[in-house]
Amino acid sequence: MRPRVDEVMHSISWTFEEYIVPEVKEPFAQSLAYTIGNLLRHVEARVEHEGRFLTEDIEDLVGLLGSSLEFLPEAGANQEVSAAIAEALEAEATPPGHYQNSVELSARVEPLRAALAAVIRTLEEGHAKWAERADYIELRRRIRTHLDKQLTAESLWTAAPFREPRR
Amino acid sequence: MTEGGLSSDALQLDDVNRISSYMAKKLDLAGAVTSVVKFPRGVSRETWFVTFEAESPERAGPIVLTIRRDLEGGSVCPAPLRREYDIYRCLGKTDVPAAEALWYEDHPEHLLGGREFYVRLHVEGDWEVPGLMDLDPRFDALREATSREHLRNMALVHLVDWNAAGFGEVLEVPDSPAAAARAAIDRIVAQLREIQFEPLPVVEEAIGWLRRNAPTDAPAVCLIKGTNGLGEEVFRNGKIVAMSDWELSSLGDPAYDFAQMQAFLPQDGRPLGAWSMDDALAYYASLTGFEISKPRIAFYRLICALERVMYLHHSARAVARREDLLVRLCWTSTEVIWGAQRELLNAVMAAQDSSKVRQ
Repeated sequence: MRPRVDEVMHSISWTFEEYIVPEVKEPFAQSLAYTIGNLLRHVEARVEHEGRFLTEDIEDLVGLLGSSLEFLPEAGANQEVSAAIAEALEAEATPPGHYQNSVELSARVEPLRAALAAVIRTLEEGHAKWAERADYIELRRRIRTHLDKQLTAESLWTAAPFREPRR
Repeated sequence: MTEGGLSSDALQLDDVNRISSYMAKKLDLAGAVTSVVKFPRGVSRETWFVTFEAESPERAGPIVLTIRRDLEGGSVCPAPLRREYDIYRCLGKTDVPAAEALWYEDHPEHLLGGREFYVRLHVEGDWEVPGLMDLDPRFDALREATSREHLRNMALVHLVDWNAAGFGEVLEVPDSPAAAARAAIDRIVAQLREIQFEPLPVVEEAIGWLRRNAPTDAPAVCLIKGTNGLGEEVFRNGKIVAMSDWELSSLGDPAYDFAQMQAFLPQDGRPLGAWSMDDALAYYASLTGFEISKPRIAFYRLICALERVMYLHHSARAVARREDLLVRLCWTSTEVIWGAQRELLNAVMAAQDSSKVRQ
């Protein structure tokens, strides 16, 4: 159906900026109008980019958690975190088999990120013990590179669309 | 701001008759409320200015009051409103210029829109410093004078005998100056754990790095104002007449405050004429005896980023749980929290590429 969702979003955003914002004079309402204008651009960019990013992110996280699962038991980390990783990966082992929107993808990525957070905490707890190990240094480097990639992707909708005045 | 509604008998700020009667009773004066204005800029809590026109023999004329209350879903900053009021009460026992706290209201019959609030005397003045942001060199002298005025007042804050003023009963006390940075990180992480509702791997990565690299050379444990500088203090005729916005105050290293100083230091990218960062730090040291190193300020900027993530995550939770749907919270929990995480990860990655710091 045309206009597509991105085209409708753009139309709403343009109309709001062009006709509504200039008419809002009460200071608090005007401040909120500025914020809404920014968030409309945020949603427009998020609709365009987030689904693709989350799909890639899930793949990356599965790979990263797989590597963590190799390192942690071998390095003598507690078994609970390995079990939590295995559980998160098991849930990902069966693909949904149908299209998922970005809300559903976000729900899928959350347990994987929770497992990654648990990995990071475990690595941190063992830092003094493992700091000189090449596989430890490499795993931490890979995690940081992954996090950097995440923030870079998110900047498309959390940084680029925003401009002054914010409020 | 939630999807539900309030009971019809809840006291509201636009109910002039009931507000007048309430204020007259609390102030013990005859008179009426003549104006109620919402401060448009606040993000973390609501601020309202209420003018009460007194008509008593002992006092006549306008009394301007400031009312502070949480947003409908609570404050962006998870510290309770009562703590902010207690800080103002403690400030009243010091030489720091600050608004006088009058009372805290938590009686069920008097809640405003169902919310607790507190009242302080409004201090006449302006948060803006006209000309400060104008890069024309003719404003350099103004910038230096403003910076000095602010540093003088920050020195007053940092030299407060916080124990005698009661701050030790309101704020967490670090074990020692050496433990101050680590205590600040642990305090923020503990607050984050209480409210956390989704995984934050970037923050997990940063927390470990911050703990391992926390400086231990704080000169003293001081009262820390929190956000300070442009927009956070009240000026009148070039002088600070009230230091405002204490909700992020704590006890710790005075460098923490330098990391939160807005626009009044040369390093903010705006020239202050011949007044350099080194001059500012030397001037401050001459007032307090405290040496503030630039690396410590840089480290505390990262602690501030961690703190931003913590309280903006709190606002994200309010939106996700539909406890507060004010659109401003969506902005802070998207753009602003992303920026804070970016700052944290940049520091960790920069350290990874350097052999100078513990990775």
